[in-house]
Amino acid sequence: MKEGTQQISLPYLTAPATIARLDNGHTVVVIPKPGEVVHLHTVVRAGSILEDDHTTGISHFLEHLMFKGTPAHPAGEFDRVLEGMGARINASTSKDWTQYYVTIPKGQDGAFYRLALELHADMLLNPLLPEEEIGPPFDPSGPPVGQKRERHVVIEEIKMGKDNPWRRCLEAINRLMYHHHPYKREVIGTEQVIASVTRETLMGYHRKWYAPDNMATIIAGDLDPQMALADVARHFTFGPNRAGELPTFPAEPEQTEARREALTGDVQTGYVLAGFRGVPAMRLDEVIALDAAMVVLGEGKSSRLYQRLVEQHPDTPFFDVGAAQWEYREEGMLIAYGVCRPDAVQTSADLLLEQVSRLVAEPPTDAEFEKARTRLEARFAAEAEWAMGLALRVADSVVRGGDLSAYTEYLPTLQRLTPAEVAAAVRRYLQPNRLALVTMAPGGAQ
Amino acid sequence: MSFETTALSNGLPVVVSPAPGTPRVAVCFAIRGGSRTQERPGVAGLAARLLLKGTRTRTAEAIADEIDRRAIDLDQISGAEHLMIRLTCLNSQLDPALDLVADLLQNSTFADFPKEAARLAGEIQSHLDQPRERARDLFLRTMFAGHPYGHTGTLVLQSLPELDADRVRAWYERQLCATRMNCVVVGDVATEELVPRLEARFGGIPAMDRALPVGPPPTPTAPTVATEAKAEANQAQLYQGWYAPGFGDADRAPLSALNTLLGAGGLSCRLFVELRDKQGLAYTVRSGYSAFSDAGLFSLYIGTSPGNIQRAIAGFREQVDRLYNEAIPPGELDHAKGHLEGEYVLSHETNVQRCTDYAVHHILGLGLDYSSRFLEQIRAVQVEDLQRVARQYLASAPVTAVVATQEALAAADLA
Repeated sequence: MKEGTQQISLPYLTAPATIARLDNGHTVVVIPKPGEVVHLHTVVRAGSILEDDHTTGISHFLEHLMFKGTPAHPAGEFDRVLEGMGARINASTSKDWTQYYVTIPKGQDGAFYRLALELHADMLLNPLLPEEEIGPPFDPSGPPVGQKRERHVVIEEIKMGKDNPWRRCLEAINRLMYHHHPYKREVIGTEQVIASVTRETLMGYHRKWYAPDNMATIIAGDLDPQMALADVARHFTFGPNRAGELPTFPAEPEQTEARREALTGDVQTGYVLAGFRGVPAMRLDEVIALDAAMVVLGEGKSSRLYQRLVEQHPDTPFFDVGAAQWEYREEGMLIAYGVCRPDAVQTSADLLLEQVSRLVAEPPTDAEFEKARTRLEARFAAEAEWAMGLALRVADSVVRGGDLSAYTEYLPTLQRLTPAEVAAAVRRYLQPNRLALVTMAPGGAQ
Repeated sequence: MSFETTALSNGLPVVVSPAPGTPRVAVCFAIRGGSRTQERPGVAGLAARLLLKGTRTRTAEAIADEIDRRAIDLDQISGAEHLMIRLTCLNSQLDPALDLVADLLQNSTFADFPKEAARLAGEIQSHLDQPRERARDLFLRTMFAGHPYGHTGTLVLQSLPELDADRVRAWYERQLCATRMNCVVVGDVATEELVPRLEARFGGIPAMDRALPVGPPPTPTAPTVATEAKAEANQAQLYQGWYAPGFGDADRAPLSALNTLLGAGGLSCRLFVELRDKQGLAYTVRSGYSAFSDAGLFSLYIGTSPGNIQRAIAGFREQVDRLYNEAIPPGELDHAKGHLEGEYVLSHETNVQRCTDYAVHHILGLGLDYSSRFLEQIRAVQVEDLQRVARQYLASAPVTAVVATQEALAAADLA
């Protein structure tokens, strides 16, 4: 049934996790988390990176439609049965992956867990994607449609994003950064594609990518690991199809000069976002160096951005500031941001950029570096407190490299990290020519 | 769950719930009397924020540095009925974290008022840039007009010029009373070792009760439709609501079950299935039930395309009418009960979740084991109870709040 089963210690857990690669390529991880809560989690290495202009948004649309029934369980039954046991059910889609999860009380003798796993596997392997649930294709610029189904739900989600100033700014950053690589497309897609994509296209996408060698199932809870492994193998009865290696994607050329976009919107405050393309997720040493750099720059109220631009600036235009690294398999993203007075957007952008430049000119001090290291370490303790936190970290590691090394190597690598390495990563990735700057100020429709 | 309860020499109640083998410890200090007792909008919220902005011996920067350097998660919560400081830290950092909180609670200067008030104003404006928040603000200040429950961001913005550090400090100092607060600890700690450490830091909090009197309950607003036009909006934001009983009322259990069944029970609840799955009207549609000390709010929310406003209102009406016009199948009630049972387990997974639950219910006078006793009440709910509370609380016309473009409001006859 399985080859290469390994026991691996995870931070802040007393018993080791078990990871197995089944013969069909399906990766299964069982995390021994004490308590009554069980979390089931399947990640598929299929996100918007696999789409083109004619299919933009279908990874996410498919995620919605996966809840619409199987031959064994009609639409609604999965939700009804599991939510009646108290389950929280959800799914999410990113550039690199789609994840499906159920958090549920274990139940007496594991009864809830077992039923949840059976339904979770059935939903992922045997979706019907019924035409009546998808709804008929329509012209989004045409007259109102009477019969609305899931296409319209996703289009409402698109509209919700258009009314959100942060979402609009982040979409603009992404547009500035990527012109060639498929990361240039939004995960949510376009109304035009969602209104017209066919069931056959969606079914074909499922057949191709929802294959065992492209999926990992993670179970966190107080369960016997061997039993849980056997449960997964029994319920995930895959067919013969395999996804094989992911394709290679067109490289995005190195950015040679700063790019800027000034947006206006129906807002009462100003928004400033400075973005830089980051590092592939498997380059763990640089990922961690940049994590530390972003903590120093903008995480917490003692960060440089908060102290220098909000607390200590005599006439600050800022109300809030921050910085973060978002990791994606092919290339991450570094963001510094601020919310500011609506009449001071340009000044705010200059102030924000000055602090980013100073991180290059004045790398983190030893005290800043130690503080960042402590905060990054503590994240692992916080994640170990809840089953879903553990599963998310494991899923992320498996999507990056097929194993748990991005998880288990994080803290040892962080321990070896030096301030000089942080400074080097900052110099490399936060250069002014690599900047994508987006601002939003009050103004008319665009 | 197990608790050990004791009190410091000044009468401050201490509750410890041991969680052996957990890496982080959670501590809550809850003080009775939140925004409910403020004379003007914004006082309680600013007091909570200013607790982190300087003491007699620590600057705001020193506080921020200590929090970050020790990786302490620390937040201050300004609720309608209580004020709370909550921290979670690695076990090794508990003593310095308690030192810090002792200083914040007892020695804050509130001197940073002007900067903090300006920041608060900006944060509220930014919050109101989100259309849903703008609609929620309109809804709550319409629903609870003239009452602290309706002190939304918009009213805080209007009130800020009239506030100052002295007024905020005076309000806070009247709240801080050892017998009107608690300290709840959940983590890998032993009570007998912990209590002397708490006594040394918090035993000096005064026990004299000088709290402001709690005013009367809200007077129900007559059913009305409040609208606000937005220059740009791809969706309309719609809230509807009815007055409901507060947290001590026996009808809280049937109304909670009704809320779960109607629109708070996830993907399988009625609003989600009928308005989202079958009619494609929304990505987000839900119901909510908030219970305060002497009143509550049962609400419905949808974000939908501008052309759908009347259809959404009709959909809400249809689903609410069904609650008392049609028999509720017993299986649907069992489903709601099962959901709430499971939700109880899921919402008590971490030390900080448990700590918050105990601290809030204790300070509100409901008891440490309120959540589990409330489940007993849920188990006893019958189908007839659901219909009775639906008829009693939801049969009248609701208060409605809509934020949309002028054209959308006009097209829906709401302009």
